[in-house]
Amino acid sequence: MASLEPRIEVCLTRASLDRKPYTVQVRFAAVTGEIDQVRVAKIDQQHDFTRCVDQVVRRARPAIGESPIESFTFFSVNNGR
Amino acid sequence: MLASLALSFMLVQPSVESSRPTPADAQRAVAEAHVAQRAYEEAGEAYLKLASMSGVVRRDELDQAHVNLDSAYLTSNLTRHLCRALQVAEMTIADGKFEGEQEEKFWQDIRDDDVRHLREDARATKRQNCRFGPDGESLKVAVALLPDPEIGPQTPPLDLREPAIRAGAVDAPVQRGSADRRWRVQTAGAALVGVGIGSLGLLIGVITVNRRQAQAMERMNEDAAAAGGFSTAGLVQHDRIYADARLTRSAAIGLGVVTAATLLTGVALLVSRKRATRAVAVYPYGGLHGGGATLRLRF
Repeated sequence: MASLEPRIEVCLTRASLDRKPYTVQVRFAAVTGEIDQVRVAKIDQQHDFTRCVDQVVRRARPAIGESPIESFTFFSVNNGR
Repeated sequence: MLASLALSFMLVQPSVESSRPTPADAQRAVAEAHVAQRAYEEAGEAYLKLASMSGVVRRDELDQAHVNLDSAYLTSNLTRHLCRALQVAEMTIADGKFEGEQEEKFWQDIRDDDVRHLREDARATKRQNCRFGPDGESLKVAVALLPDPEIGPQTPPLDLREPAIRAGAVDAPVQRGSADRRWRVQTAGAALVGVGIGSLGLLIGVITVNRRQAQAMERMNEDAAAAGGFSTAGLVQHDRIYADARLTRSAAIGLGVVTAATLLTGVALLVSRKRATRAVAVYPYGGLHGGGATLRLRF
């Protein structure tokens, strides 16, 4: 997911938000393993940034991991996980 | 040498203190261990506990609690975990004090998503959950009625009385039980207060008599001092007043104790009874997990 950071940064610029760590939570449907929801912690789901991040993450089609809800942090010192 | 040892001890001591794990650190370790074992329900509860501890960012821990409880639902398909997650979201919204409008909306979205997931689950599985019936219909809001002996049972009890009693031909003492008990308590309280007030009046009287006796003896002492000594009759009278004064003092002490006991008991009985029934009443409540107020209407 760290490879998505440049595209997330574009979202950031479009939404005129400050560059700081953002945690993205991806909720997978248990049965299908498809992405059910993409949330950005502490930001409204209708916010431009969240909608942009949602598109970026869905296009990337991350596979379901060990947890049904995966969290990724962008723009942190570790550059996401 | 000694000074350098002391200096090194002073330098080392703070680092020892700072490296000591706090209760929150220990709780976080527990929560993370549960996550590592994919025990999401336990992890959610552990984060929930962590959120109530000092030295943490409460809402961040509540977010982790929600994520793990939601994960518990996704991995087990048991809606009780999602219901619990919804409770966390609702509690967080009720807490308020968000950093900004965005964060508040974020939590409202989480709550709405939980409700939507519960509805979808009910429809898909035909299972009832905490919010929806088997067809996805909203369950009626269950209002918890507070037991109140002053009002009596909120719902009419099953009528198992004899038909004659049921029809009102015979008095039904059972229904009056609560009111009778309340009346007896109030009567006892009022009676004790009455006795206490009477006793207080007697006490005041006895104290007044005692003071007069003391004043009389003082005057007799002054007269005797002026006359160069007590006469025989004066000495007898002084001894009699002194004996009476000792009796009245003992009586005053006894009456004081009785007055205090009866007044305190009577007032306690009157005060401890439920507040008078009103058409509209607000009852505040509080506890470990929060507080609030219950608005009660009587029809």
